[in-house]
Formats: sequence, C-alpha cells, structure tokens
Amino acid sequence: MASHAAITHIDESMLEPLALGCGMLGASGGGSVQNGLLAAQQAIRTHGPVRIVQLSDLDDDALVMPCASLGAPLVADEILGDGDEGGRLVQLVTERERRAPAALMPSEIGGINGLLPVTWAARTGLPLADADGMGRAFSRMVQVTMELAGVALGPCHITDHRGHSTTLQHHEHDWLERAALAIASASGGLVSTTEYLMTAAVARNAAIIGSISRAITIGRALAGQDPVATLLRSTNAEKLVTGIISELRWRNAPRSGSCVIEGIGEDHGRTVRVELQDDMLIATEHGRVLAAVPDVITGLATVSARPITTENLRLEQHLSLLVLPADSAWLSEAGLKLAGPSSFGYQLQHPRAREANA
Amino acid sequence: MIRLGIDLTHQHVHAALVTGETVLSTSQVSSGLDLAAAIQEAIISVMKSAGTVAAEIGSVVVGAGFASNALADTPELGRVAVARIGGPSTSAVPPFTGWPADVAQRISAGSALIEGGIDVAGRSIAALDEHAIETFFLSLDRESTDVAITSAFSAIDNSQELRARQIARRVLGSRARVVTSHDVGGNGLIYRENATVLNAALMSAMDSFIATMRRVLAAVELDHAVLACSHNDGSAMVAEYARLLPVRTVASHTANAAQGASLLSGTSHGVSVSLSSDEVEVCVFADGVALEHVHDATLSGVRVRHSAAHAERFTLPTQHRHTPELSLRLEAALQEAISQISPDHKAAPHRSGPIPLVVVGEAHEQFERLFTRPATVLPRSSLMKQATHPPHAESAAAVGAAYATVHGNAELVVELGRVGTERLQAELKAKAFRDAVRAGADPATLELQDVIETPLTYFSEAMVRFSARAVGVLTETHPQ
Repeated sequence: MASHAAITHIDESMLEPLALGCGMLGASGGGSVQNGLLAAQQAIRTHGPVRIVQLSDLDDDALVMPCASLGAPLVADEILGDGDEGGRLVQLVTERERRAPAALMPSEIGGINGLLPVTWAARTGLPLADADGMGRAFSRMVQVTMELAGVALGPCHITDHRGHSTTLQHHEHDWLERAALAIASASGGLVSTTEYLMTAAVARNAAIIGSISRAITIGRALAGQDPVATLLRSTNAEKLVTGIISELRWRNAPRSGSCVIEGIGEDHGRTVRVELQDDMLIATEHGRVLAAVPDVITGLATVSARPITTENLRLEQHLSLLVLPADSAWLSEAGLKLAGPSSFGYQLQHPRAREANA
Repeated sequence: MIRLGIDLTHQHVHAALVTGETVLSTSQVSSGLDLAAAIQEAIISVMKSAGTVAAEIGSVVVGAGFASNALADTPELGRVAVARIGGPSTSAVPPFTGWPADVAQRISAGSALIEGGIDVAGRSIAALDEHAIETFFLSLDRESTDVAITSAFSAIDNSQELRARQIARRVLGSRARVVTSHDVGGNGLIYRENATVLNAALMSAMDSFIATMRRVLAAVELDHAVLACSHNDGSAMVAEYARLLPVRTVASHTANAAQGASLLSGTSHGVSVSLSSDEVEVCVFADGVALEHVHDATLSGVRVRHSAAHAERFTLPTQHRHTPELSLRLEAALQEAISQISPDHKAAPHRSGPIPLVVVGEAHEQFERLFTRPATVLPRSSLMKQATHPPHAESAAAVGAAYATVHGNAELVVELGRVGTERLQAELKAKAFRDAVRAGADPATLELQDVIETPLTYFSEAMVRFSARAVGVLTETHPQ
C-alpha cells in the first residue's frame, strides 16, 4: 500500500510533517508529539540527518531493534528524557546478542513514539528502518504485528531518563508487560524499552512496511492547502462523510461514547455514527460498518483543518471523517482478536475481514 | 467612579469611558511615531466628548499592545539566562530548542541544565546541585542579564525553584530580575519554560511602558487613578502585579473585544466577531466574559500554552479578495460558536431567541463582504439578521478593558484522601483571595467561583488537581 515515495533520510525540514503525520496516526493516544519533534530537531542539528533504510535493503540476518517509550503520556510533557536512551538500549542488545543492531525501528508510529527513534538514530548513528509494529498507536506493548508473526516478546530491555537499566526475561506476556509498567512507575512514570528483537528477514514479514514515509506524506498533506483533498489523493485515506456533529454522548467507567454526524453538501441526507473511547473506533451508517479499529478513523475539523481528539469533540462541530485503512496484517483472525473491535468490547465484524472470509 | 479603558492596536489608540454598565464615550487616534502623545490625545479626546473631569475617573485599564509589540520588535527584549533544574532527565531538549534563531540569539544569555528535579508523584528525582547553579549564576554578566528558573512538575513541588531563586538573588544581587516557572504556571515543561523566558525578557519593556503610562496619566491629571493592565483572560491586574507577569498580557485583545461586544450590545451571551484590517476573530462570550480555554499559541515564533480567551482566527487575504474556502471555514466557525451558546447548551441554559453575532473592531464594516458564496449551512439572510454592529463597535476592546473584573487563581495538587475537603476548600479560597488582592481586587467584593477537580491519570498514585478562581472589582485605592 505504499502509494507514496519512499524516503532515504530525515533532515530537519521533514520533522514537522513527520510530527503532524505521527499525530494523526496516533489519533488521541500515543502522547503529544511536540517534545518528540524538539528532541529530534536538537539531535539532527547536532549529529546530522538520519538515514532511512528499507527492510529489503538489509542483510537477511541483520538485527532490527524496535524501540519506544512506555508510560504515562502526561509525564512525557515534563520529563523529556536525556536523549541517550536509544544508545543505552543498543548497548544492552549488543552485549546480549554479541553483535550490534543494524537498524532501529519505531515499535509504534503513532504519537511521540514515532519520533523518539529519530532522536535515538541520530545520536547513535544507526539508520532507522522505514517500518513499525502498529501502523498507528495502541496502548499495549503486545499490540504489534510482530506478535502476530510469532516473534518472541522478550528479552525486554528497559532504561530510564537517569540511566538506570533493567532486562526482563519473563516468558509470560502479561507478567512482562506488568513488570515493565511497574519499573516505569518506579522511574517517575516513564521508561524506554526494546522488545521483539528480530532479523531483517523476519522483520520483512513481521513489521508494517513504509510507516515513516507514510507519516511524512500524511503530514505534508495536513500542512498544505486543502488537506482533505490532498490526503485522498496522496495516501490510501478514504472520506467517510463531511458533516456536522448532531449528537454526542459520553458514559464513564470505562470512558466511552458515540457521536452522530449529519452529512452536508454532497453528503446531505447521510447519517454516520462513530463509537468513541480514547479514539474514534467504529464508524457505521444505518447499521453497516464503514470502518473499524485497527483502521485509523480521524475527524478533521473544517475550521482548523487539524485532527480533532475525541475529548475535544463538540456538538455542531463541522468536520470531515476520514479513514486510513489498517495494514492487511491486522485483518487476520489473530490480528483482529488482538487489536480489532472485540478487543475494545464491540462484538462486530471488521468490514474488510468479512470480505476476506467471503 | 468612572473607568477609563485603553486599547492599543497596530495603527490606533482607542479610549473608552465606562461607568457601571454605561459607555459614556469612545475615541480613536492614530498611533503614529509617538505612542505616549497618541495615548494622551485619545484620553483628552474621550474625556472631552463625555464631558468628564479627571477627578471622576477612578481607574485606568490598558489592554494589549505594549508587550506584544515588544515581542514583535525584538530589540526591546531583555537578555535571559535559563537555569533548568532537571539534568539529565530533560536534556534531550535543551532550553531555546525550536525557537526562531534570531529571537533565540537576541534573548539567550546562555543556559545550564542543573542536576535535580521532582517527579510526577512529588518525589525528589535528585537533590538540587547548589554548587553547579551557583557557578552558573557567577558566570553571568550581572549588569545585563535576567534569569529564568525552570523545573519539571514545579506545580507539584516548587521548593527547588525557590531555593535556586535564593541563590540567584545572593549571587546576582537584589536588582536582578528572576522569574520562576511555577509563578508563570501551565503544564508541559517546554511550554512553561518558554513562557518563563519570554516573561523575563519582557519585564524591562513592561516597566518602561508602565513608566510611560504614568507620565501620560500625570500629564492629564489622572495620577490619582489606579493603573491596571488587561490579562489574557480579559480581567484586569494592577500595574504593580502585571509588571511581574507581562507574558500574561500579550493576548488580551481577544478577550477585551468580546467583553466590549457584550457590554455594547447589551447581551450577556453571544458571539463576538472582531475584524481588523488583516484578521477576523470569532469568540464566544457568556455572562459578559469571553470563554476561556487552555491552548497552544506562538509568541514571536516561540511556542507557549496559555489560558486565554479562545478564538478562531482567520487571516484575511490582502485587498479583501476572499476565497470561497475562507468563507466556508468562517461560516463553520460562526455556526459552531453560535451552537456553543444555543438554548440547549450548558453555557446558556435559559436563553431563547436568536443568538446575537456582535460585530466589532476597526474593520467591522467589512463583515458582510466576507461572504463571497451562497452559504451552505445557515441561510445567509439568517446569519446577517443575527449580526449587529453596536455603537462604538470600532473601540469595543477599549470598552472591554474598562469593564474588566479582577481574578485570583489558586491551584493545589494533592494525593486523594491526604487532605480533608474542608481544609482543602479553605486553603484554595485563601490562596485565590490572596492572588486576587495582589492583582488589585477590592477585598470586600471578592467571591469564590466553583472549584474544579481534575484527576491526574498517571499511575497508581491518585493525584488530583484542584483549581479555584476568585472574582472581584478593581480597587480604586492605590496598592501599597
């Protein structure tokens, strides 16, 4: 689905579009991208542009190191990290594997985690693979396509902003994730981690290809004139409806809700309903599912031409509802079980899974 | 007593005289090269047309202009050294990262990352490295440097910033301007640090502006009047307080225009549309004040996050050649603003009838020309029917400045259950009242507004932020 040109490096001028794209792919989750953008700017200014490699250009047995931060997004607004987290993770991997990784890779392209590996690549001099494990943002460490491909989660290396490091070797996923979160809490709410270490040969089938190029293409569209038309033209985004929010309901514990969008202009007469949690999860029209998580469903505000987070939705707001379809890796039975509608508590079939089964 | 409001736009000085809810008169004068002379002329003119004598005027509130002009015109800014407590936990983004190079070059007098810091649960990450911070202050040019002291989570615990300020005062002398990030406030270290640095950089321009204002007031025999400046939320702060927080004055025009639109149109709830020659601002007001909102903004290209009147802003193309896209977005913004105060909305539960669109600002007469295409949402005739151009529309922001109340804010972050509700309420109230009195409120008029409770959803620690606001009337007695 690479309808965009693959990039070969990231220089300072590409960081704003990358951050906008990561923001849109992060929907409401994944933390604020602004500090990630500034850290990357600082690192590239000091160490030069970051090389981007395609997984297909790496040797089969070259090691690809997925990496990300783990913890509370609000903490990342205050604790920015020391910038050497990536370097320490590389060192931990190198010591254990007795060889250095050939490339870093964002575990999660959505939100600030799409940007932190840029800083770490600039500072370690390693290239960054044009790929990721989610194609968007998810809240759990194991909601990655590497999990679907059978890559081992552990060992998980962890480092914090004061240089404390740990390696977790738990063999049960839930225990490992819980232990990692406990370490994050002990470190003031935020750590950086690497897990699902793999060779390039494995990564070619286990990771989502072209994620960084895609984020930059999305960001460039958002930054330009008429973002909706540009997104439809330059990415595989589809427009679901343009209209006005006529109903908005929220329930607590767990926080969830729904909104109804009445079409205007060429969509006059249409009514699309969206199920909400932290993100927009499912869009339906008269009971027919138009799109569903792990698709990225985003409302672009007509007034500001920027994505709207679900907490900022308001009655009578004018918006275009867009969908960036999930990578096909997510549409298998296992993929939808891990990150599809049922993992968020909705018992319905993903529209493209149904097509695949038919 | 009568209040005098002054608003400075790019080209003009506006003045307004207001008593109670009555606007007595307004004036407009080209600012030209001598701002002080223009302000004086505007004051004389407005007093003359209202037949007001100086002794009748109890206070003067000045909105916007000076600090934002100082930001646009960087030579007026001071040089600031930044001591950030939080090395190495925050060193990935050093101070001044992301600033436009020319602004950073003009303002920066160096920066240091000092070991120390507080984490989200209020635990010390590390003790403050007092030796390192002292060494940094000793390295500064004492004559020409102001200091910004910042740290992560300073809203939760400001003790390290306070200790650093003591050291700065000891090393640099009592004349040094030292601004701490917990006084400037806001969430997000970089945003708060940027605002703290800009605040320090603006202090000398602010002092000279206040001195100019005092000379002008003396020249027109108004030296008995209390001098105040408009806050970004549209409230007033006495000059003695505002001089410490100039960064909170830079965006006050929006709130003042909305406040003025409310008073001039005689409606408590509505939408103000403020037009200047190059910009339209759409802003909702309820109970006479602009709705406030924490949002990101850039000042001279520097990112800050502030609590200010929220407006949708549209830059107008030159020569008023409006594109269909602009009128579509503007229409959507108007419709959204109207819906925010529609009868079924909580901001105006008991309203009925059409929501007024109050059109104000120097270019208010251009409003009807902004719509170049048939409206898709509201029938254009209905949009136009709702639009009113009140008398004195061009000077609405000066009217709004004069009509301001005074706010005092208080914020406490506590672990849930650690502090009893009554003690918490009392502490918040005392803190908000104290702040309001510092800002120039007459203590006899103070009232506490609702306490807002925000859970901070981090890890297992159940931290809650309580914030409260006190509102009062601007004093007419000179602060001590």
